[in-house]
Amino acid sequence: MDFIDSLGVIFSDALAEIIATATGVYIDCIPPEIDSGFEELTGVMGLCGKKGGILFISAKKPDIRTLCSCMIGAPESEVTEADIEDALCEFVNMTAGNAKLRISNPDYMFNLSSPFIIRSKDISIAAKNRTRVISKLLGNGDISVKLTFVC
Amino acid sequence: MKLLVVDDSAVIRKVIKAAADVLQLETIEAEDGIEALEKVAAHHAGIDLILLDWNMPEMNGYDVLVEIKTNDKYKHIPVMMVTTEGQQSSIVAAVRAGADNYLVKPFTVEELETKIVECLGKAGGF
Repeated sequence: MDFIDSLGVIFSDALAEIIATATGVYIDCIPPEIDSGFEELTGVMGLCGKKGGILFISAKKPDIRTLCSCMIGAPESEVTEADIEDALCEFVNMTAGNAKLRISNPDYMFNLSSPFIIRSKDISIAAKNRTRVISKLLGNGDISVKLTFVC
Repeated sequence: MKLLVVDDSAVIRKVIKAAADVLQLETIEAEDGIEALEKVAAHHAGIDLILLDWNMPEMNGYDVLVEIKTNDKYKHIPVMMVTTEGQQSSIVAAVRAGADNYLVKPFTVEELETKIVECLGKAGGF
């Protein structure tokens, strides 16, 4: 495992931890073949530094609705469409912030851009030349969240 | 008692408002730094604690903190930073600028309520 692979582990550990703390829902890495695809929303954040990257977190709307409901302590029926997108942006923001605390290599220190949302089903990311794309699927049988890190 | 909740995330403002409701505290909200300073100017006599995000559009939370803590009319209001910026350097910078407390996101509701009570207790509210 090289350092870029270890960044993938750092980001997926960060995502699992922030979801557990913010929502009380526990998720862990699951085999990629379980991925049913068709994530409907993707939260994106640019990581700017000596070596930059882009963080993508994708999920199905009902799964984010469930997580958002747990986070604000309100029934799912009270979670609005705006809340769903806002919560996904906040998950991206908190994941990047948590990962930043875990990275000890100063060459990979970064600042966070403002997160934004892509509304599209099952986006796929292709990279060229020496750009690396690392994908991790996290879930617990009820919900799943896909994390992709490009650098 | 009244909290000013400053965060560009509506969901985070809802989480904080829910905790404030449990503690029977009123809240007013702002979604960026500029609006926060407007709310402070309009309500400063009635605000007992400001919960302030760091990364926000228009004006970031650190700049808002500096504005508040260098203004004789507002500097008595306790400010707790509530942010994803968890590095030691950020915490030190905020404390040096006058932040009274610091909570790194994500947080549990219990952590948030404890920190709010702690801040208001120091300010003589609880």
